[in-house]
Amino acid sequence: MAQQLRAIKRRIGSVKSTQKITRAMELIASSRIIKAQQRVSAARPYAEEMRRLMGMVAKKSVSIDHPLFNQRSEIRRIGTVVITADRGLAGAYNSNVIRRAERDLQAHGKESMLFLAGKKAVNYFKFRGYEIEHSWTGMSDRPHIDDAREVARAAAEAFTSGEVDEVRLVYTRFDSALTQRPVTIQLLPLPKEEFTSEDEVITKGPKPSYVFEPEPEEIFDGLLPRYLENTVLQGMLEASASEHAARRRAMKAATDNAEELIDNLTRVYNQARQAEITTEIMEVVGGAEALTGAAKQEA
Amino acid sequence: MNVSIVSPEKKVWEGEADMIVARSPEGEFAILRGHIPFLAALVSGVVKVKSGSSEDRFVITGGVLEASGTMNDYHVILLADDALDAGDLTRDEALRRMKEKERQERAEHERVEAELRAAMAGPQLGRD
Repeated sequence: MAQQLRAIKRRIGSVKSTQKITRAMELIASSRIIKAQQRVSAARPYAEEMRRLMGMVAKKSVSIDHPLFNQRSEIRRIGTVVITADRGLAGAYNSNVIRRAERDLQAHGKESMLFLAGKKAVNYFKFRGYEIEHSWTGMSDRPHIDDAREVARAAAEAFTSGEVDEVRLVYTRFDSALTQRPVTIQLLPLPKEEFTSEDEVITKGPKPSYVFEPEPEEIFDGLLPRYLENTVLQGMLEASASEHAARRRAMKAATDNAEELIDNLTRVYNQARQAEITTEIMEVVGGAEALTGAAKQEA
Repeated sequence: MNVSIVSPEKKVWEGEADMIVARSPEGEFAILRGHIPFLAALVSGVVKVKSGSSEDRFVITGGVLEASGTMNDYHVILLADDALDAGDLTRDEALRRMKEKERQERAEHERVEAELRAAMAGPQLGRD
């Protein structure tokens, strides 16, 4: 009996210490979501201005043609960039995006080339025997433009050299603090229509005639790789915000579960203790009665 | 005129200025309020933003600059690949420290993660 009580008590202690950790991680994740969200919105002005300028330059260009626009007539091999976290304990965050990527790979049925950002993706695909072309770790927490550049350059290189005929990006879109979902977007070839469609650029009043230095075509070609890098950065930043949001949710659930477990265990503990006390009293009463009974008989 | 310097990660600087000096592949140029609409690719170097007697300097590794508007509403937007305030010379050191801190946090997270997994596996294994 006493031994059982001690075991329950020990169990409560261990759940409590686990709960302490999960609660701390929940708080850390909460503060990180805010920062990550700020980074997503801080990066927006650049992306918007870039898009506007490119639309403008494309209109002034005699022709826009760049290897990154190159539509291949036959798709033999598809490159996939997958963005996951380096760390676990983020609920289904990593497995959702990995599952999405793997389904894509199976759906397109072509040869594939993997570009993996995040330790979880690397571990998963390595274990499954996939061939990994490039992998990066240590960027998911706080992605920098330099990280996005590395990824974008590797993808662009594989595309322009003809190793792959298309490149896709799989990441977790941050819709809000409550919803994040894994999405697949096409990175390469770049969508030409994006820059040439009429309604894309909204200019007020008469369009000023610009002086370009150097020629518009040259400026445009210079902007394209940056546009690609920026798309990757945007994906990484959103993925990072999603990761923190998913971790906060997972840790909150873990903390709540621990609370419930502690309540239940405490109840069991109290019951067991009550039973033990009752038994002890019964023994005492039984013993006392036996004594008085014996005394009466003697008298 | 309104000047904003924007890097892929954030708005680096925004404010009123009298003149901005930068360098395109064709040479150094200066923009004053009312300059003809202008779009230039920038090469790496120092960009100077002057207002009154003060001058801010930024080191960029490349980018693009657009100047447009009317005399009353003129603005210059500089999209820089990387922009850092030239006054901030300890940036490399700051970056290094930041990276180091991130590395430590990751190691700590891994330790905690292992601990938690052990704690969760405990009851299943029949210990306690």
